[in-house]
Amino acid sequence: MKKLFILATALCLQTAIAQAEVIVIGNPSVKTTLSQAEVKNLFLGKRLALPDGTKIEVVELAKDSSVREEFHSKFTKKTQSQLNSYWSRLIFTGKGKMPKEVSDSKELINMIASNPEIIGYIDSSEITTDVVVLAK
Amino acid sequence: MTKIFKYSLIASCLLIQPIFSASADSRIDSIIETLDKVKISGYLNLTAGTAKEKEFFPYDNKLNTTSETWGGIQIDFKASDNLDFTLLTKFFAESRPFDDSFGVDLAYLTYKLTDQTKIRAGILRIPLYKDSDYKDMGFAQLWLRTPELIYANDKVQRHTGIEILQDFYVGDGTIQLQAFYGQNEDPRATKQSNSGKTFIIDDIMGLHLTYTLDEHLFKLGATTRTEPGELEDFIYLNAAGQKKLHAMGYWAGDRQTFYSLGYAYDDGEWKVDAETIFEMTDGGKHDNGKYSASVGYRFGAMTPYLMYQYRESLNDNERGPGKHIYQADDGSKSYLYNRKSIQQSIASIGARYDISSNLAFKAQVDRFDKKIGLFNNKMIEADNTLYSVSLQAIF
Repeated sequence: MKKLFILATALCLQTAIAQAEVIVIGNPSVKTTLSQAEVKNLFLGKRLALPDGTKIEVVELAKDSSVREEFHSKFTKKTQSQLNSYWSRLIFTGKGKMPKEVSDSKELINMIASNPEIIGYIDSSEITTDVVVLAK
Repeated sequence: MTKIFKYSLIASCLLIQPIFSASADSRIDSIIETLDKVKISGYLNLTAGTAKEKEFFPYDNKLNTTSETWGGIQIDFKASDNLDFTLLTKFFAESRPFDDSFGVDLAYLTYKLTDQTKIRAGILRIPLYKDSDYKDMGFAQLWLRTPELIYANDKVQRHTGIEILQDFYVGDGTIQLQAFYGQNEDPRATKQSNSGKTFIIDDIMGLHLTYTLDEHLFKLGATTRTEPGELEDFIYLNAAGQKKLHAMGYWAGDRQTFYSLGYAYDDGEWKVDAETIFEMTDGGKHDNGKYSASVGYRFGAMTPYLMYQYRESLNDNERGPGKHIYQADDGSKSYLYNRKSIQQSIASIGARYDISSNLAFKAQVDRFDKKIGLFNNKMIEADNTLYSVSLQAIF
């Protein structure tokens, strides 16, 4: 019985881990969804607005965040080292500025809930009704 | 690093404040507000190299740790929502000819007209080729150094002028147009001339288009300027008292144009770069064709790569016996060329290892071959090998 319980718990945990994924979120006033290419363009500073023209500022999670690593692996296909290399080309030529960072997803959700011009990403398990999913 | 600096400054202000009061609070808020508008960034290259034989660009057969060791500190100040000021200072372990060991590299204002349109004015980088904008920032590149046969041109690095950056959105891609006009002093001409003049090149201009789509980047550019001065500025008396013409006098006033076509691909694993350059000058100065290609593949933190670069003179039939001779009024003759053609190639193998997200170690071996064609159809051949290692960081 005990073994069965452990097995069931492990299976549930595995399912939960498998289902958790990184999602791009925005303010509920944003009525659009984003393709992978659009997300990449926004988070690499190539675009500063949504496809409908709405001005947007992207906000990143802290550099040591595993969700950040997962997000970039999925959408921009870059490691943190490659991102630093990419942004240094823009910063030292005055052609771009690195996005702002916040320490955790709770702070990010609060920012997005109070500012329709900000988008970010979190783990899907942390989503609240204050934000909507723009891409996953 | 910037945060530590800011908080140290605030702490210092608190310590020297004799009476901590409400007015002090507002002053501290004001300091914090100002410091939030400042961003400090930097880069550092620490490179050591040695060549198998004597003379390989800045290296010879002794270990050299200074020729390619340099760094830069950039300060960005956000003056308003639309106006930024940028200052990039640079320092070298070894001063270069016509470049101080420490000084201002770039200093400019950026005014954002719209999200897609920026105007910049001040001391600006000339985006001569695909990677010219950041050729000294080793961390920004895969290789230990940018392809030497293409990027060694240090005469056309910056201008004092104005430029416009305009982005056009095409589907998921972006086309960035960069057009500029400016002036620059040519200290080489000042040194070689006996006229006492300061030589200002007053017509540096260019038009560059960069198209990025997904993992692809294409860059097409043209930059032009005139060679400084006039023939008379470069006549000198040799030890025998004869009037001679320095090489700069032969092409003084000639137009020089740099055309470039570059491509880059980066999907996070494969990194491919290729570039073709044509440097064309009116008159008999060597026109150059320059070509480079490289490929790297990322295995975790390690990225080995291969690179090949080739340079050739193009207008070889314009040089020969009896051509490009200057005869002074005292009858003495100066000959500009004693060689007809030149071909150089470098084959490189190297690897980049990312120690952390802002520090990389690189090692590279370059095999150099050179062929010089003389007027008598004889060929001089030479080769060399360079071994280099480098630590490259950004913050």
